[in-house]
Amino acid sequence: MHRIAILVFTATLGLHAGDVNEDLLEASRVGDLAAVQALIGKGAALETKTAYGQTPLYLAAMNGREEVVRFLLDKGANPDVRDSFYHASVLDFVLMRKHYGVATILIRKGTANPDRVLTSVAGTGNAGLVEAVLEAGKPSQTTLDRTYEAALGEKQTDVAALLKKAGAHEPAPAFVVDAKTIETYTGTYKSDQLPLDIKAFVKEGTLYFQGTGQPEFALKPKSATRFEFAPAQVEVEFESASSFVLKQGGASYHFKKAVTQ
Amino acid sequence: MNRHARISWRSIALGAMAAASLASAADWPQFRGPSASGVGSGAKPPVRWDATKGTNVVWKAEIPGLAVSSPIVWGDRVYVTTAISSDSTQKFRTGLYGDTDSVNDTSRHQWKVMALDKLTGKLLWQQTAHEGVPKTKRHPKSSQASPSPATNGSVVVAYFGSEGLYAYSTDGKLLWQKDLGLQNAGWFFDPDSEWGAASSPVIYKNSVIVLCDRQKDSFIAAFDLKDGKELWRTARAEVSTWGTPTVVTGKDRSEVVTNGSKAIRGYDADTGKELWTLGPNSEIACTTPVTGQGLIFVTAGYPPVQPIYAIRIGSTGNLTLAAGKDSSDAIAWSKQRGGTYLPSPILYGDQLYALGNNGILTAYDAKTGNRLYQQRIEGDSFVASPVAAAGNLYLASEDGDVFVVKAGPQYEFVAKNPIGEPILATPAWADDTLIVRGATHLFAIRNQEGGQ
Repeated sequence: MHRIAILVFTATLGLHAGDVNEDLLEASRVGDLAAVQALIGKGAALETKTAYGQTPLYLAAMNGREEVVRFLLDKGANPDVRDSFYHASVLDFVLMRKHYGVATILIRKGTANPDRVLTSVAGTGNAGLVEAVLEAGKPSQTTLDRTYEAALGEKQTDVAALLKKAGAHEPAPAFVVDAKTIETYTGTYKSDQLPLDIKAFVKEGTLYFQGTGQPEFALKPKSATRFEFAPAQVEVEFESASSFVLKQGGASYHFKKAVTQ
Repeated sequence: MNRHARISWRSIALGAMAAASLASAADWPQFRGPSASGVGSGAKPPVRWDATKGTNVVWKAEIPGLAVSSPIVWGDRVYVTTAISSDSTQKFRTGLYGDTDSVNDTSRHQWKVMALDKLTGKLLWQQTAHEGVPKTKRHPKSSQASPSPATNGSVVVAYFGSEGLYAYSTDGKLLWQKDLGLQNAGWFFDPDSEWGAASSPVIYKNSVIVLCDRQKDSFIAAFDLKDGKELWRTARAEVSTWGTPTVVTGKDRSEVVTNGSKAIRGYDADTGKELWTLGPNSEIACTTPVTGQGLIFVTAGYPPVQPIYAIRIGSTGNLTLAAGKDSSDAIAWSKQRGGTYLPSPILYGDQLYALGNNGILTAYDAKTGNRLYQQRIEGDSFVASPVAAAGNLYLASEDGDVFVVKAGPQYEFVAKNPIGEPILATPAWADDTLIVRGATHLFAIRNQEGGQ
């Protein structure tokens, strides 16, 4: 009898914990600071997660809830969390949704690799965010140079000035690839490693890539076979006119041409 | 069945509606036509036209509002639904993009059902089913009137998600309406990204079956066509989905096959009892199952897997394949890559065709799953599902062109036909006439004298 009572009590506690954790996730998502504070006070877990690996901080941040973000960070929430579905950092979604106030808070609190953060942030063209990254850590020379080159290309003068001041070098002159060679690269490519097709096409003499459901981007030639997209730190090496290796974030993806343009 | 016989049915009192009109081959009673096949009956459908010049366009009718629902056809009528926002700046955002945000148009809307004359495009009647501010947001390339209507020739059913389910007589008289609750289908990753309901109602015997997958408490239910009385309802452990269910009639039973993020499922069409489940599937499931050759084909095209399953009709239980297997007694063949995201597949002849949003058309041997070809179509972005007739496939692009491709084991381009406005709705067949819904007009396209 005593044992049953303990089991029931334990089960009740478990149910209660589940409820407050779910309530915390929801309160964080909608930005209800008072509820978040109360639920943390009741013992809700700061790092509880949705089925997709989103923590209360992740949900508050991706929905632009600055007050809640500040509170959760003060309580010790992990600012460098990634979800388990897209494997995206909270900062990725915050930037995508243009919650720049939240982004600044996260950058100042975060411990993530400054190279990765600068690469993500520089693409927004927001000088305030770039300044925050440079204040929070020291990116590598390579990243500084790449983001500087990208900022110049995008005519983001404020961002470029900050990066230059931080020590970025002037970019080397662009390599010129003849039109005939570029044309051989066009087509639709597939990879066994990624559920994404990449369409390669030429626009005004420049080779562009466009992934399924993604915006197009121009590739800058580094040689006749090597190209890069500096803002996303994407490197592309054509092995032939029918295959290439795409490198990003330390990973390599092999693509083969499925369809000729 | 001839037109006069159908008129006599229409005049029969409500109590006799249980015996629905018999569809003729020219009828297109629901999304993608009979059994959602997408296959038209016409022997000489149009192959070439130019709507911008009026070539082979029999009529063109302006449809106000914003809707991606498909037209349906019965007898001498074409039925369409629309949602008209009082904010006249509202439009679709077409193209390939990965944004998850939704459009929150909080202006007053009118949800309408319209009947047009099939031969002339003349408006015969229109009814405002509902007026008010939408209860949910919409996806930038979707609408507040995304589910297609359905008819059995006596009753026209229109489903507007959170704004309800409505049944009209073919003369436009409201027969009944049901509130099915908040249908806030949206992104599984953030409930605020509401994209709106899109699954179309399907008529089976004397019932209309509606799939209501939403952010909480998803369900599938059947309602009596006569009075809207709920006949059965089955809860679904599902997140939001957008595909239309398909009724598949086998040797011993009729089953409702539903696409789903957590599982593809079959239900007894008469009772709603779950018969089988199959996974894994994409976390976002939008396409409609198709059937033929003793198989049910289901695809989906979003991570973590983009499967194509060929399921044997009549299977029961948990059909999920053992690790490392791609077939079983219940699954004739399967792939974990190649499933399509928005356009539903089409089975035509011996081939299954899958059209990607990016315009890549892949043909498979329907019996074996062997890939026959893969070819990029010229258009940049596709959401409408392919249809087929008289040996050709018709692929409507968001750019406003309908590409005609010869059906068969080898790719053969036939024609590119401009409509002149974005196409997001799946076209419908009315025998030899192709009904295409553009962003603002409905077009009836048919071979004219001297045309092709």
